[in-house]
Amino acid sequence: MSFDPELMQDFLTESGELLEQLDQDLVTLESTPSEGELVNRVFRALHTIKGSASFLGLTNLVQIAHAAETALNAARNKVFVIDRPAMDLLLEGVDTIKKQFDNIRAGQELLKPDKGLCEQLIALGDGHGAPAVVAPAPAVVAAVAPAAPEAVVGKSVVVSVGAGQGAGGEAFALAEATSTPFSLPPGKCELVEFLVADVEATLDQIAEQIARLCDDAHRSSAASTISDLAEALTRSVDFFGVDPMLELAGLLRKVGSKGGDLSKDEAGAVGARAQQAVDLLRETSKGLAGGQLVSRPLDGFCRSFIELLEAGHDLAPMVRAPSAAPAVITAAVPGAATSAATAATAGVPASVQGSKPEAKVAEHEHEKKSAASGEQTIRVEVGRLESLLNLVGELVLQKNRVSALGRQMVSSDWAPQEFRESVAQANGALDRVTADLQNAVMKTRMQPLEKLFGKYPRLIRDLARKLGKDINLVIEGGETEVDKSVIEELGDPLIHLMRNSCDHGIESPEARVARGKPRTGTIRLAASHEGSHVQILIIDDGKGIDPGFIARKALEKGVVTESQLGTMTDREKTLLIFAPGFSTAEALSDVSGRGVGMDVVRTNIEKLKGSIEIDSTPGQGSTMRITIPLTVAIMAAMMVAVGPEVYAVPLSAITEIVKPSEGQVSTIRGQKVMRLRDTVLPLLDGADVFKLSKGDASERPFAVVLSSAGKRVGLLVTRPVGQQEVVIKPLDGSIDRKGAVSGATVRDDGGVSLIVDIAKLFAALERREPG
Amino acid sequence: MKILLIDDSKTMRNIQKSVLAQLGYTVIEEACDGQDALSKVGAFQPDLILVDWNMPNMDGLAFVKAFRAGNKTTPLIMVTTESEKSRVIEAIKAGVNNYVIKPFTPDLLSQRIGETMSKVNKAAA
Repeated sequence: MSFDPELMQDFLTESGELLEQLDQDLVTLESTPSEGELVNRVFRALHTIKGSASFLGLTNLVQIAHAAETALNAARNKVFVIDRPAMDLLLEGVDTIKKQFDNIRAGQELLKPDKGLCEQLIALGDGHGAPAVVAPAPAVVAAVAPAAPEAVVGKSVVVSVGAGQGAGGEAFALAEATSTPFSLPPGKCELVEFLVADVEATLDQIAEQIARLCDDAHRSSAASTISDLAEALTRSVDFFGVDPMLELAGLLRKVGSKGGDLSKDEAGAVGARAQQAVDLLRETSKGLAGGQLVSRPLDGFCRSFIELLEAGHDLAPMVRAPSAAPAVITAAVPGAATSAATAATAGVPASVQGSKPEAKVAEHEHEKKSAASGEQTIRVEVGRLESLLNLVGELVLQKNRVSALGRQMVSSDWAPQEFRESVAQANGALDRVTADLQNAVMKTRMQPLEKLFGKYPRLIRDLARKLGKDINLVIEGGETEVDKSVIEELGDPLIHLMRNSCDHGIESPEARVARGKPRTGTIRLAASHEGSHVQILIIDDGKGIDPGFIARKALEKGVVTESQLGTMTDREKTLLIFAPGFSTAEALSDVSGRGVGMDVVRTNIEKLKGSIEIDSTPGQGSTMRITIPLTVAIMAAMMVAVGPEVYAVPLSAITEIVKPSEGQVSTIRGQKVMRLRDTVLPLLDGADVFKLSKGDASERPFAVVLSSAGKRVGLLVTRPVGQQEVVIKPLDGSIDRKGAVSGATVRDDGGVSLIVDIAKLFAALERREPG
Repeated sequence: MKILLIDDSKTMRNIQKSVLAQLGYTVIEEACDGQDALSKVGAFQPDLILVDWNMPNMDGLAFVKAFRAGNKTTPLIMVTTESEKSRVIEAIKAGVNNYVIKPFTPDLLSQRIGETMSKVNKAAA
């Protein structure tokens, strides 16, 4: 079968999402193995993936999905409880599927699943030989069937059918049975064994109810149960097209609809005949199992049965000849909209009739309620959103320009007052609408952090197992939304930090117990909105960071000098882990030492215009605090002038702007510093940073105080110009980047400004410091 | 002929739609679960319903039971998997007219639709 390539894309997208969810659910499932709805969800996900894959001819994928699904189905039916080894197998299965997805994306041949794995998963599904199948117990039926004792038990059916003589009524003398080979079309043939088992179970139940027909107290409930059972039976045998059975099932349905109105004597007689019909059905069903159609001429039996049922009861006219076609039977189903059916239903006990219309009303209400629901989302190509955002960016720039021109005009006097007021108003409105539009477009690109966080339970679980630690991951605020690009950039740093917490933070269970802590370590990953920023906390209750240890390591690696260390506080020593070239891993472990140090983490976060801070209490744990803006494309900036140029400084990095007095500024070891209240911070001259002509230092009297990762610096500028929303335009590689700049933007006066790169600025400071 | 397609997987719906299109059926309404389907049958008035078994919110079997409580005639075909075969009888008792096992070929589906419709038409005649 050939399919549109789009279908394959659909499959990848949809199943990819399912897979992601699957990973997460499986890890949750490990801690709550009896959570029924979760097992169901996991099962459904695999089931859906398998179903689609089977159509697309992805045999290797179907194979492993089927094995995992089999295991989960057994778990769902409580055949076994998912323990650690079982979970390992399931996760391995999901990993295989993930690899196969990668294969599909790369256009490669699909990875063949490990045969052993499939077998083990399927063995799990077999429940290690303990399937929970409950067989019906026919013995009970015999015990409670006083009405027709000789004709009841199913074991001796063929003998009892012809000779049966009920206590309360006479059995109809039947003609000889004949057997003819019977075959069904393939689609139905494969279901025969299920049909036979089901028909027999249903017949057992009907026989039980027939026995209750003789009891005045239970007659009407027995009749209505028979009616329901017979209707289900009719559907099964109708599906298989076994007409003799259909006729008998029809009779039983009639018993059900009339049974409630019978007197005790009549019930006895009808019960005996009904039992005979049950036995006949059993006989036919048994034959079917052996590929034989056992039939007897039933005209007489049916006719006399119906007469018996109608005798003295003119509640319903005779609706059909005994040998009626199946079509008529269908028409007589209680509840169908035909006059015959309405008449037939009249015999049904009031309780049943009453409940049906009610159910219908409820259904209608439900229909109304859910009519408005349905699919509430559409998929949009990321590229389209990108270009939309770019356009909004351009719009914001132009709006800034128009606003600036408007302001100029308003403050000038060449236009009439009225006109200037209108311009001011229009400007204000334009400002609001653009801001709303910008927000709305931003929102389309927002994604919940859950998308990232969802991957971590699995990561932590695997790490904990590898390291022999017990670690519990608590995730909070996964619904917090950030821009798509932030999600993409944040992934690696977060993984690195979590790995660090597992590897260096959380102690081994023994060590924890020795220190009087709970065996299981906890890592808390919490996200929340803080104004226009998102704060992400990674808190572990591990051993914390020992500043002394960090200091020794930093010295060893030549990151700091002895004299520098002498003046450092514990907090500053802790911050040394962010220094380039610092890595405490004794040996490059498989876990955190991947050559990616904390400095890379910091750089990545600063690329997002964010910041990272560490709080640590030795022996009690540490907290990493990451603060990132909601979006990276547009940001609030303070425009500052340095000589003739105007630069944009990210507002998020600015703590204050001061004009230090001469007494506040001094020089230590050749470096300019400033005393600000009770602290001293280094100063950087804007002219140096941006490689502008120096001129007189007094031309730059303002210090913009910037902070990053707990460090502060004052940037000397000529004057602050004003606050503005800037749209970040990346710099072309061919432009010589003069100093610490990360991009450019267009100002509201139409000029171009470079955007200060805070991370690079601090790096420049660090380079300066040791020297 | 109007067909209502009930499946929680969009991929599966698209696959089935493409099979149905190959068979010349193009008037198709989709529903993503039993509840969604119940809310759509009234307005769409399908001539045939293809329903998946495993779905969130309201599964195929529950849908068939709920649907059959009010509609005895519109034919229903259960789309199922090999592993669910043992439960097909349950669905038949609940009121499905036929079933088809995934993955199916256009030929097989066409055959099942033919079977189902001719039986229903015969019954209606």
